Amino acid sequence: MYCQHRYFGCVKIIFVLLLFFSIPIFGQKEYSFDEIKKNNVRIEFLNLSNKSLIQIPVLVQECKNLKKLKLNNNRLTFLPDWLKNFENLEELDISGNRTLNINQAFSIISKLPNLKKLEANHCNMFYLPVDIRKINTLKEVSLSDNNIKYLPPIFEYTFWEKLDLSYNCIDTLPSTLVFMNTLKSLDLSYTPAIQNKFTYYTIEFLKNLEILKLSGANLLPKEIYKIKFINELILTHGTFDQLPEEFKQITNLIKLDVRGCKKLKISDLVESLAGSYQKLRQLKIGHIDLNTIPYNISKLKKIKSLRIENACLKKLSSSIARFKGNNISFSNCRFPDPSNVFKEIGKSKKIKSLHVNGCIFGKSNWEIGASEKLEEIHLKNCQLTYIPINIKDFPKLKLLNLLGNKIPKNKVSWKTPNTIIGGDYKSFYYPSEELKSWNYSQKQKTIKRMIYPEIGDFFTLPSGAKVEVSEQCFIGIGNTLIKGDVTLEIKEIVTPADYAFTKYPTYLPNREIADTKYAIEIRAYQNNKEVYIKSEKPILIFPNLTKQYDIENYFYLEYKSEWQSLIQTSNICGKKSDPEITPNCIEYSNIPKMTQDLKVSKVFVKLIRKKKKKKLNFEITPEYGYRDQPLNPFGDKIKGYPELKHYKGIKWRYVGDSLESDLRRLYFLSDEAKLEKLKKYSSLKSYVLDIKDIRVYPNPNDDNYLIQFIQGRDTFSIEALPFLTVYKAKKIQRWHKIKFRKYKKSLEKRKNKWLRLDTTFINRYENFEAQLEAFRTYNLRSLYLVSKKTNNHKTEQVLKIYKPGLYQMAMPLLINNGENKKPIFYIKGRRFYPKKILVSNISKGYNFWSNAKIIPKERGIYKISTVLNEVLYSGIWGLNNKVMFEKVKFK
Amino acid sequence: MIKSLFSLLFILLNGTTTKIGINEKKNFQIDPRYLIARTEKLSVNNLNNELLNITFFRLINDKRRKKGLDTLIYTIALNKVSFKFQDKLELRRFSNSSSVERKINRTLHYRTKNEGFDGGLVIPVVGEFEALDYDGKSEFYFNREDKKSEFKLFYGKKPKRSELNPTRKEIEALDYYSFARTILKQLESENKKNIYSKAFKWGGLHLQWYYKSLNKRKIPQIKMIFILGGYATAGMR
Repeated sequence: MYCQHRYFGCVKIIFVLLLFFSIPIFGQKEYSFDEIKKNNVRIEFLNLSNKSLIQIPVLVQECKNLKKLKLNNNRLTFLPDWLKNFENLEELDISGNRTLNINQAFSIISKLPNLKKLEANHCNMFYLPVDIRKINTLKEVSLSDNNIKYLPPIFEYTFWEKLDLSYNCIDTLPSTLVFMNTLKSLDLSYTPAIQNKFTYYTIEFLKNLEILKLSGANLLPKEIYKIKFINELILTHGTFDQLPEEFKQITNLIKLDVRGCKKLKISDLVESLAGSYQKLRQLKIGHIDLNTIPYNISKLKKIKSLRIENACLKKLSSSIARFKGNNISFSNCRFPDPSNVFKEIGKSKKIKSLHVNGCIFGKSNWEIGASEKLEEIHLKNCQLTYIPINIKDFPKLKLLNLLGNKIPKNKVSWKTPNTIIGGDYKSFYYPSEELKSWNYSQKQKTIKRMIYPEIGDFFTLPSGAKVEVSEQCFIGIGNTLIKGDVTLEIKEIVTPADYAFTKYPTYLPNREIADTKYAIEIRAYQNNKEVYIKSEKPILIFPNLTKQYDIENYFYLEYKSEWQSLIQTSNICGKKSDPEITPNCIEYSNIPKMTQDLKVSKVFVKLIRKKKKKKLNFEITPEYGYRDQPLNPFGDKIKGYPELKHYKGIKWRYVGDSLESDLRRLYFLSDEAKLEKLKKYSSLKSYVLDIKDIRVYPNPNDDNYLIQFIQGRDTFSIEALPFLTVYKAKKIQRWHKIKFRKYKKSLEKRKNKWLRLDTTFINRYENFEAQLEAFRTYNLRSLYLVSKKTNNHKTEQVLKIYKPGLYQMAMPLLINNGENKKPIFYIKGRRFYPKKILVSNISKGYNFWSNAKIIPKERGIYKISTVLNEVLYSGIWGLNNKVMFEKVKFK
Repeated sequence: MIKSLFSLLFILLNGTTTKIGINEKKNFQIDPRYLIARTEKLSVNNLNNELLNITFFRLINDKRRKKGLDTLIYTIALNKVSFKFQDKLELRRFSNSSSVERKINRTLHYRTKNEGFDGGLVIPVVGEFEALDYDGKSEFYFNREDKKSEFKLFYGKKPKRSELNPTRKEIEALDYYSFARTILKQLESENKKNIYSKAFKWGGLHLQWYYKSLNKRKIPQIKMIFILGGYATAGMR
C-alpha cells in the first residue's frame, strides 16, 4: 500500500509540476491585432509587426496585462503617451520603424517601470538618447544598424547584461562603458571599433563578459590579448589573413567561431590557439574555399566538437584519426567525392557522434567507413535515397537519424540500432508490361534560336534555365565542322501541362518512378539537316532550381524507348555569393559633436619591497578629473581626489596576507607593474587607470584602514596602516582622528562637486539631443548597403549535352506514407475511364504518369490531368475521392 | 509540531543559560573569591594567580570608574601574552631605552596579533613589588629553624646563642587585596598615566613570584606584567 501511495504521490507531484510549467507556456500565446477585442485582458504577447501602421491603434490600450509587444517593421512616427501605462511590459520591439521620432519615443519608453528587453534595430537612430539610463530594470538592449557614431556618457548608471551595437559606425567606445561590468555579451560586428586598439582597453574592464562578437573584422589589433578572460569569441566573416601573434595569450577561450573567414588558414588558426589548447571545447570553421581539415587539428587537447559549415570538402587528411573530440558535424557542406571524406571519419578513434545536415554529395555511391566507436549518426536533410551504412561495421551504433531524407521503409530492415528516426518513405515501380506500351510523342511548341557557331552563345530560356553554347561545337556527318547559322530547337518540360501534352516517360532505367526536377529536348539543325555536337565541347544547361538536389542526369534512347543514365560529374563546389556588407561611415563629418569633457582618473602606485622581512609597502597618489582630451597615463597630471591630500606622501604598511594576489586584481596598465619585476627590483612604479573612486575608512574588524578602490562596479579593498613616527598612544589616536576628520570633510565637498559636474553634463547632453534629432531627420537613409554580386553562372547543377535528344535531371520518387488509392473520374458529370493519367503533386512539385486504376498517394492535394483529342483536361483530387475533369484554358 | 515545540524549548533554555552567564559577570563584586582575597595571604607554595590577577584588575577598574573612565575589558589574549612574557621580560637599565622600548612594543604587537587581539596599540606596564608587610627601613633576618612561619623572616638582629627566649616580630605576608593596593600605590607615574588613560579599552595581566627575589636574605617580590590594548584608529570610529 505504502508503495502505491508513494507512486501516486510522485505522479501527483509530476502532474502539478507539469501544470505549473505549462501555465507560462500557455500564457505567452501570441495574439494578433484582430484578437484584441475578444481577449484584451488575457493577452500577454501582442504581435503588431509588418502591419505598416502609422500609429499604434488605441484598442491596444485595453490589453493591460501585456508583457511582450512587437511593433517591428511599421511606419510609426510617434509612440502614444498611454504606452507608459503598461506596467507589466517586459519586452518591447520597435525595430524597423525608420521614421520614428527617437527623442519622443525614448522619453516614453524610459517611463516603463518593468522593461527588461528593448530591441531598436534598423531605426536610423543616429544617436542613443540619454533617457534610456532611467530604465533601471533593463537587461538586454540591441541597437543594430542604427548609424550611431557616438554613444552618450550614461553607462555609469546602467546595469545591462546584453548589448548589441553591430552594423553601426562606432569607432571608439565611450570610456564610461568600463563601469558597466554587468555586461555578459557584447556585439560589435561590422563596426569600425573592432580595428581600434582602445576598444580592447575598455573591454578589458568588463570582467563578466562571456561572449564577444567581432564579425566582419578586417584586421584584429595586437591588443586583443587584453581580453584573456573571454569564453566565447565569434569572428565570423572576417577578412583578415591571420590572427595577431598576441592571440596566443588568450587562454580562457572555450568556444571559437571563425566561419566565413576566407583568407584565414585553418592550420595557422590552430597554431595561434596555442594558449587555449587546454580549454577550447568547440570550434566552428568553414567557408567556400575550405577543402580539408588541417593536419594539426589533433593538437587541440580538450576539444569536444568541431563544426564545419559551407565548406567544399574534397578529402580529409589522415590526422582526423587522431582528432580528440567526440563530435563532428558538417552542415551545408558539399562533398564532390564523399567516399574520400567519410572513409577517413570511420578511422577515427574518438568520434562518437557524426552530424551531417543539409549537405550535397557529388556522387551517390558513398558509404561511411567502418567504425567501432560511432554511437550516433545524424544524416538530416541530405536528399538521400539510400542508407550509406553497412550496419555490420558499426557495432556500437545506438541512434540513426534519417530525418529529411527520402529513404524507403523497406530498406531499413536491420535490428541492431536502438532507434531509427526518419525512413518512412515508399518507392514505386512501373510494371514491365506498361513500359513496353509506352508511346512517347512530343506535341509542344518549340523554342527556336539561331546560333552562329563560330562565336558561341549564352542565353536564358523561359523557365529561367541558362544555356551555354561554346564556339565551334557543332559537327556534321563525318566529323565535318559546321560553319554558318545553326538553329537550336528546344523543348522544355517544366509545368504539368508540358508533361501532359508530351506523354513524357517519367521513369528511370531501373523502372522506378522518376521525380523529375528538369527535362529538356534539344536538337540542332542546319538547312533542315540535323547537326551533332563535338564531344569536347558539350552544350551546358544550368537549370533554374530553387533547391539543391542530389540529382542524376538521364538520356532517352528512342530506339529502345529506355532511359540511359549519364555519368556526369557536376561541379558542386561552385562559388556561392554571400551578401557583402560595406560600411560607409564617411558621411559623418557633419554630425554635431559636443565638446565633451572626459571623466578620467589614474592612480600612481609605488611598491616598495623589503627584502629581509618579505613585506611590501606602498604609496598611492591618486588623480582624478575631467579633461578635454584623452589621457596620457604616464605623463599627464590631473587634480583629483582632493580629500586624499591629507594622506599624501605617507607610506602605507600593507597588513593583509597576500598583497601580490590582491594587487593582481587591480587592473594595471603599465607593463612595469608586472609582479615578476618586483622580485628583481626593490621598488617599482605602476599606474592604475579608470578608478571611479577611492575610499578610506576604519576597518570594522581590525585596527587599521580599509582602502577601497572602486573600478567600474568592482570594489577591491586593501587593509593598510600608515607609518607613523609618533609612539605615544594618545598622540597616535589624535593623529588618526584629525586626519580622518579632515578627509571626511573634503570628501563630501568633492562628492557634491562631482555630482554637480555629472548632472550638468548629462543635462547639457540632453539639450544637445535636439540638434542630433535635427541632423537625423536630414539624413534619414541607410548608410550600410547590402549588395549581392550577380553570378553569371549557376554552377551547382549542370546538364552536359553531347548528342541531340531528350534529357532529364531526376531522382527516384519516394512518397511519404504512401497508399494505393482508386479515384473516380468524371467529365461533364459522367463517369469516365482514362487509361493513363498524369498525377502532379502541387505542393511538392513532382509529376508522373500512372495507371488510372491504382495511384500511390501521400497527404496533400493532387492535380490529375489527361489529354483527349489533343485537349488537356485536369481536375483536383485529394479533398474527396472524386476527380472532376475540366478543360484547361491557356492564356 | 512536537519537533517545533522541542526546538522552541531548546532555544528558551539556551536563552536562560546565557542570561545567567551575564549576571555572573555583573555581580563580580559579590564573587566569593573576592572575600577570600581579603582573608587569604600570599604564599610561595600555593599562590592563587587567578585570584591575584582578578583582584588587581578589579581595583584598577574601580579606580577608573571613580575617575569617570570606561572600565577595561579583561581579555584572554592579552593575558596569555603577559603570561608568556613573565620569563622573558625583566627590568634592567639600558643605554638606549627608547629603541628597546620600540622593539618591545613591536614584538608585543605581533604576539598579541597572533593570539587574536584586534587592537593596534599595545603597551606593557611592568613592575616588581614586595609581597610582605615590611616597613622598608628596619633590619631583618632569616631564621632557618622557625617552623611556624612560611617566609621565616623576622625584624631585628639575629639572636645570639646566649640569649634566652628571644622574641622577634615576624614579617608577615600580605593578603591578596592589600598587596594589590600596594601595587597601585607604588606604580610609577608614567605607568599610572597609561592605566588611567582613555586610549585603552582592553587589559590583560599576569602576576607571579620573581624567582631572583626568593633568596633567603631578601624580601620576596611579585612581578607584574600588565598589557594595555587599544585601537590606534579609535578616534575615527
